[in-house]
Amino acid sequence: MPSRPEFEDLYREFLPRIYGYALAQLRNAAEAEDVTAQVFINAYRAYDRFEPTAATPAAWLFRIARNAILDLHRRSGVRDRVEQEVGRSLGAAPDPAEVAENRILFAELLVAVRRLPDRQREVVALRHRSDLSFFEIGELMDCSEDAAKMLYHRALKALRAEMKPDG
Amino acid sequence: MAEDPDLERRLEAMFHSARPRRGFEEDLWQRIDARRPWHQRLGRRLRPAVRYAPALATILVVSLGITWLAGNFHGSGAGSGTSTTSAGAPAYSGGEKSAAPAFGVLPRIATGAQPSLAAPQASAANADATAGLSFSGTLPSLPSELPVYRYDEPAAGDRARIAAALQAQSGLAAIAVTASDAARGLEPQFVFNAPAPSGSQGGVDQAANAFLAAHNLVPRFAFQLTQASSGNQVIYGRVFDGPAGPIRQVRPDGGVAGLTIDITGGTVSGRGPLDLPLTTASYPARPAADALTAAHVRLGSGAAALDHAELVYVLVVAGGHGYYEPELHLTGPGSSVLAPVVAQAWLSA
Repeated sequence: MPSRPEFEDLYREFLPRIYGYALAQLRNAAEAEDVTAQVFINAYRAYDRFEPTAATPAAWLFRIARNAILDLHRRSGVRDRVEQEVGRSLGAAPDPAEVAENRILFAELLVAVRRLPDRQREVVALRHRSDLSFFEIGELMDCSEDAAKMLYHRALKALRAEMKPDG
Repeated sequence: MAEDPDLERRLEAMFHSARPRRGFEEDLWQRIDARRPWHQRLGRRLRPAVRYAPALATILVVSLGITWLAGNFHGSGAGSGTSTTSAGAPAYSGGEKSAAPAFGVLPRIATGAQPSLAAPQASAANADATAGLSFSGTLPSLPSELPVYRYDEPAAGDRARIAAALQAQSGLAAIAVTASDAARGLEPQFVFNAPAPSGSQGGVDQAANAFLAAHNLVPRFAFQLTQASSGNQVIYGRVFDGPAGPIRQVRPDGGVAGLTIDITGGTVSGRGPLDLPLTTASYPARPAADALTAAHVRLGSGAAALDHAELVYVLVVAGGHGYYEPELHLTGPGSSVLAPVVAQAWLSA
């Protein structure tokens, strides 16, 4: 029977993963940090009720993260503005180190991921940051395992098309 | 389901490298920790001391045993920087054997996941069902000892001085120097943005070479040039001197480590390691098959079929130093796994 890990261990392991998941779906790093903070504060409050036999820590935390992001979208209409804000969020950092870092590490691919339709973007972020199986991703996204795989397949196809060098 | 291994590897690397700003993790943890009852906070703070007591005792004993060695090492540390090879690192000499490795017990790469991997038997592929990893391929033959390279972390004041010197040397105003990043396996880096020269001809590699030469920023370490798949980046991938030839450095996420130059939209951006003095010490290596069973960094999820193994160096940052440690880098479609090569006795728990 799985035992309940120390909350701090979960926190250290999952913080960058939850942050990466949020960053792909929000406008900028500040929003991703806000959501990440909310996720772990909510998770800490609910940790006494977390039942390791019912869900893995990853499935539990990513469900909290997903709800936090959906909630933010509902409250602020962020989703409609994601695409318009992509360029600004990557290009407005005043620190040359941050600008160069973003350009080198994220720019092209992150822009392409953020331009994906909502559910494709989410399945890509979950697939590469949650360690969840397609079955678990399907459960989280309220669809079947096959539907999750199909979403991922379509997302990769769209990314390939987006990233294709001109000419 | 690896339908586009290259794209999936890039996605994996991108998500893996996404981290909040420095200090965010600790700030948030303090906010959460403040909500915990005092006895839980106290218990938690005592845990590391209990957990690491055996390792600390080992380090103490080893330190006492090699006091004279340590003295010699510190005495020659600065000088070793002036005798660097073209690789920017002291040349490795297989003859430099000592009773105990001079850096003592080495830190491990920080990671949450620690899958185990079944070692291959003859040519047959083996699978560890619990970890979902399997390896079928040829393992490299490892020497009995391998060098570990180490630098001292520059203080904030030193970094500011280095940044000023680089600005003067390169003529670039927007150049910054960052500290080591333990989580991402980055040594202190210089980072810059500059307008791309007008009228540059040729490919991005030629443009990058010309730009670095014009600004006195050509790497002093030995490197292998690779072009990123996006087509607008080149990476001067760092290699180290090994007993049987150059050994590539990779990031914990398996990506090429070194100086990256990106030329897009009329801007040249760069990020690369500072040229810091390195010292070296020989460490006993374990056989490659043993290393497989200790695989400790894994990217990608689900089942992974690995078919290629390469001896590489990976940076581990701890205790005011950066250590370039030998590791086995195992790869397969959409998957990347690191396994430590240094003998277990010389790696921290």
